[in-house]
Amino acid sequence: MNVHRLTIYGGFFGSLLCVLALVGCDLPPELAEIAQDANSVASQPASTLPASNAVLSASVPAKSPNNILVASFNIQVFGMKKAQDAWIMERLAHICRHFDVIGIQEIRSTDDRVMPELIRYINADGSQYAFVISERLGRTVSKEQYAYVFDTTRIVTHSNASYTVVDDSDLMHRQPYVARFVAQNPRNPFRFTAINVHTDPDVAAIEVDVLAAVFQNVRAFEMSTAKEDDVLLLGDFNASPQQMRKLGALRGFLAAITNQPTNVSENKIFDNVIMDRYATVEYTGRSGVLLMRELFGFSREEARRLSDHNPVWAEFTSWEATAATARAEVVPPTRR
Amino acid sequence: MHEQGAMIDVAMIEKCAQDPDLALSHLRSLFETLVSEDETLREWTSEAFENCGPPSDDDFDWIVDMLRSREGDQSFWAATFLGRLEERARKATSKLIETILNVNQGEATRQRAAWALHRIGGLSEADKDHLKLAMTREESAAVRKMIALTLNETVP
Repeated sequence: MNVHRLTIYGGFFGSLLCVLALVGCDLPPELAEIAQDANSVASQPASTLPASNAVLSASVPAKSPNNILVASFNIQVFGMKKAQDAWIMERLAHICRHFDVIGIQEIRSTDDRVMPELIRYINADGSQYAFVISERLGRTVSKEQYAYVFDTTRIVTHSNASYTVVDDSDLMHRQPYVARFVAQNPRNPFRFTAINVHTDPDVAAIEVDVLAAVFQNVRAFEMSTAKEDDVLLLGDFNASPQQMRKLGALRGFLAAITNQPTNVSENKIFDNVIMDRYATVEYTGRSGVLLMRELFGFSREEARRLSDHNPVWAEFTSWEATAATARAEVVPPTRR
Repeated sequence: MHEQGAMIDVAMIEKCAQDPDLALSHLRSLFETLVSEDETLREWTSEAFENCGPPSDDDFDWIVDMLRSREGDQSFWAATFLGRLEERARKATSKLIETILNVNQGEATRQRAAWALHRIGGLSEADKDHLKLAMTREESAAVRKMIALTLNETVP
């Protein structure tokens, strides 16, 4: 494994560094093992979800050869207590199967079985998902990990690269976690880099300003190392697009979620998928909040057993698009 | 003021994480579960603290005392709650400056104490002099940066 450490930001806030782990094979051994392990549990008992919930939500577009669905989901205090609860895990798995890539926040456990358990549940129906996960991040004893869950039949991690933005000046409570992905489309596949974030609510205003620098500098780094201009900043910002200050002032700033609350109480926009409208023309213009209470037909109280956040999502073409083609080729006219 | 609470179970703490008022009514007990050996209790307590907003003025005195806790997470959250009180915590200014100057406190707590001072605002010239002194002694760039932001009052 080659590990590169390089300065990507040097401004008022000091330096933000990247540690980049590049693995020179198509599928890292740990991912191959996960995929193998996932297949081995596919024969386990099927989900006990009611039949009416076995179908995917009509509010999220179906997966197709032409699209890629990227989501962000803060699974509140995702630890072994939830991982050992089949009722919760089956529903989390059901949610994840809607999407091709899910950026997950708030994995809070020193037990490394949490994410493998989620993958086991997701793949119990024959799906072939895998995950990559960050180190434990945070200033206090309570730390969190980020993860990306992705459908290996439709997505691979581009160059198998993921890295944590190292914040030597401790500007953020939890440093963002970056990963590269590429769609499995034979026609000039859509490649993108995702930055997974979870701001500290007490200092969200400060951290959102820092994220403006993170976004710009990760993009510059990705452009210089991978010629990649499509960067998605996703996660729990603890801020609405209107509160994103320096981040919101970036040229081309586009928030997928603009006016629909994302928390289960349905009164705040915390979660989002942010992109540069001029660079990421693969965005089809379709996005939304997957309301868990609607998906499963239960109350907000029941939804809170899963999380206090609903997942948010955005749709992209599965191929590198031009502004003129992206929406026209993916979004059916009748649904526009 | 709330009585020193008995340990509460994880089901109650989960409810506190969903209900800010409930969390604030159990704040003292939650400061105990914050340092529990049980990871689940600790994590849900942190979550409850993240979500619950400013405490009651009635809790002010014991929260100030909690700044001196040897448990880093307790002192960190004490500083956080004082910051959330904003100008209502002005009486805690000197204790927060002491916290910044206390080299036995962890970096996260000292940084959060500096942030709390910014939120509280209204620093006297004497307070600012003490903070400038803290700047010269502080080895952590992160804490120095937060003190500088507090002195310059540039943090939103």
